Amino acid sequence: MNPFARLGVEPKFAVDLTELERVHRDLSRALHPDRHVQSMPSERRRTLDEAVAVNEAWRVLRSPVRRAEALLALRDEPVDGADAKPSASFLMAMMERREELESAKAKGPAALLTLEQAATLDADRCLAALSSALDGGDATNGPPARLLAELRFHRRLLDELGDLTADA
Amino acid sequence: MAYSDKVIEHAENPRNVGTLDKDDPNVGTGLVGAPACGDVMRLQIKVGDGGVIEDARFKTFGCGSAIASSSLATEWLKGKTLDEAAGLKNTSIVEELNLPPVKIHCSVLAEDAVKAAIADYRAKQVAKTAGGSA
Repeated sequence: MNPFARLGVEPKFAVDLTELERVHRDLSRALHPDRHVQSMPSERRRTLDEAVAVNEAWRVLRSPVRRAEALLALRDEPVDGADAKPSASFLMAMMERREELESAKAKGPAALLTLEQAATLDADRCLAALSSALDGGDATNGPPARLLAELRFHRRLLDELGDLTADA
Repeated sequence: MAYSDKVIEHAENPRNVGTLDKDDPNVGTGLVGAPACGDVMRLQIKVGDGGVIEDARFKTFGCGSAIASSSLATEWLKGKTLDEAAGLKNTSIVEELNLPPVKIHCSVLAEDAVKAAIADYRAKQVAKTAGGSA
């Protein structure tokens, strides 16, 4: 079962995470083993399996990257097809960001924070484009699979920046 | 996951890190990325008379295996003709570095970068010839 169906929510990218968390909590509570101690063993096993599946669905849906992957899988669109390849200009911009990161490391915490802000803006823009491509069919920024690939590059850079600014 | 000694050796002492002038007509630049992990790799070749690769440089932002794969590729490229370089296979990198299955895509990335650099160099040569005869 796909993670949207598992939690009983509409399959779309723009999800209300607070609402989703509530749905997850209610389902988990209903499926909790403590509530099924009187049940038949087969029923206990079934609710336990379902509780595990509900947790996994929640983990998938709360992550933008994995949520987008789940949506593309539902639509039978490959995530690594030919149209998922980032453009040369995107790779060049990413290479430049990486070189900025190298020099920011040498310059110190202030430079790292400035770069983190810029990289966060890039990632947010990519996320917004991915959202309108997946939910609105907006093709102006490229196919969803490519925007998803670009989002992974942004996240990777932000993860590294996050580690560095946390140390600072 | 444990890296092989050769991967660690290349990752800690990468050969040929750097940049060549991408506007030089004798330089071919390959820029590739791995969407699955967000690695970016730039590999450049400088081709001399007779189509022999004189110099090769790379810059890779990624895991140790990606750095080692591109480092090894630049070592192999020097002194090779373009045709020999075009025949470079990722499987040779996998063997030499003893890459585990989950890291094979790093060697594929290096092969892609070599091919992209050769294609860029050849496109420049075509453009130069076309420009000269016009």
